[in-house]
Amino acid sequence: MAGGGEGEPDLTAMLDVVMQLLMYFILCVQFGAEEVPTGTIALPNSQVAKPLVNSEGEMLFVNVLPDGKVIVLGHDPMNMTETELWLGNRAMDAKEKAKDNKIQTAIVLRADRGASYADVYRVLEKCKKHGFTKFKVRATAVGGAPPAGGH
Amino acid sequence: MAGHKHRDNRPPKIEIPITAMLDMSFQLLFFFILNYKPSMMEGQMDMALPAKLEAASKEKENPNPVPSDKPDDDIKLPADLTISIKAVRDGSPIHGTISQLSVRIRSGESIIPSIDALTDHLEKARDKAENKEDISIVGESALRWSEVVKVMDACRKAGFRAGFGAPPDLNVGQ
Repeated sequence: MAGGGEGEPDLTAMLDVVMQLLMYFILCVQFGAEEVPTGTIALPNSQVAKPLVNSEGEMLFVNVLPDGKVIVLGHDPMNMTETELWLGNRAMDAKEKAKDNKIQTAIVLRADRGASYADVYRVLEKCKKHGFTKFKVRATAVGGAPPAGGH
Repeated sequence: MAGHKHRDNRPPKIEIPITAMLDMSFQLLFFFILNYKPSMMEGQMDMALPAKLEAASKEKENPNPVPSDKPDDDIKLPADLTISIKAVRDGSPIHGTISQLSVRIRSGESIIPSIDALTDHLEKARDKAENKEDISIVGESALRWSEVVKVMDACRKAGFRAGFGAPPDLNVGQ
């Protein structure tokens, strides 16, 4: 009678563990990064890249592939002409959103570590031409110097 | 039947239906696991593009440019210092890495032996420079982006904010 009929395992400990995991993933989730196609870009390593802050206003993600093409979510890789067209449209959107015709949207550059300087520069130059003035460079933060240097 | 045996020695055992809660927790857990991207590792750096080189082409193609498209954090003074980076370009596995690194100030140019020495050199040069904010990086077009970021790291450590200049071997107008 003691152990025969009621073979119910005690799930409380399991629930505890699951809740712990759940909390971890809830706290770590970042929906802000969803504008970026995953796994396509291997970012370069940087020792001084600062951790991301959530409230940074409007951002436009520009991903540069190793072959110099630009990829953004919802598009196939674009060559320079297509990229320019796309940037022009985004710049118009940004201007409509802004009150005084100034683009507040920041360009977030995520270039692959194998991309060449010329490719990245061309993309930046196009952004600049369309009136974007704020730029951020994304990199993989690796250990070394403490982030957010004091000077 | 149990009550008959134990009489009322113990209070009745209260059981919370934990299975349903566990099911729900698993659902949520899977949702968050699937949405989890280890982007915590991703960091960000500021940068500025020097306006000088682009200005001409911009005015040409855009007859009435936005008058004040330079916010405060954009460049004001041209950078005193320029880092020129030459790249290995022989198609070998090290194609695109740094072959020569030099820092140009107004008074002249000095070759830096390695990227480790760059931060020290820049810190010294920063004391003399008028514009202690900005520095310009000019790389050859074949240079790998990862190498550029290494140089940006060194600039940032020395207290500069890096901007980029046009590669000398690239026709920018195309």
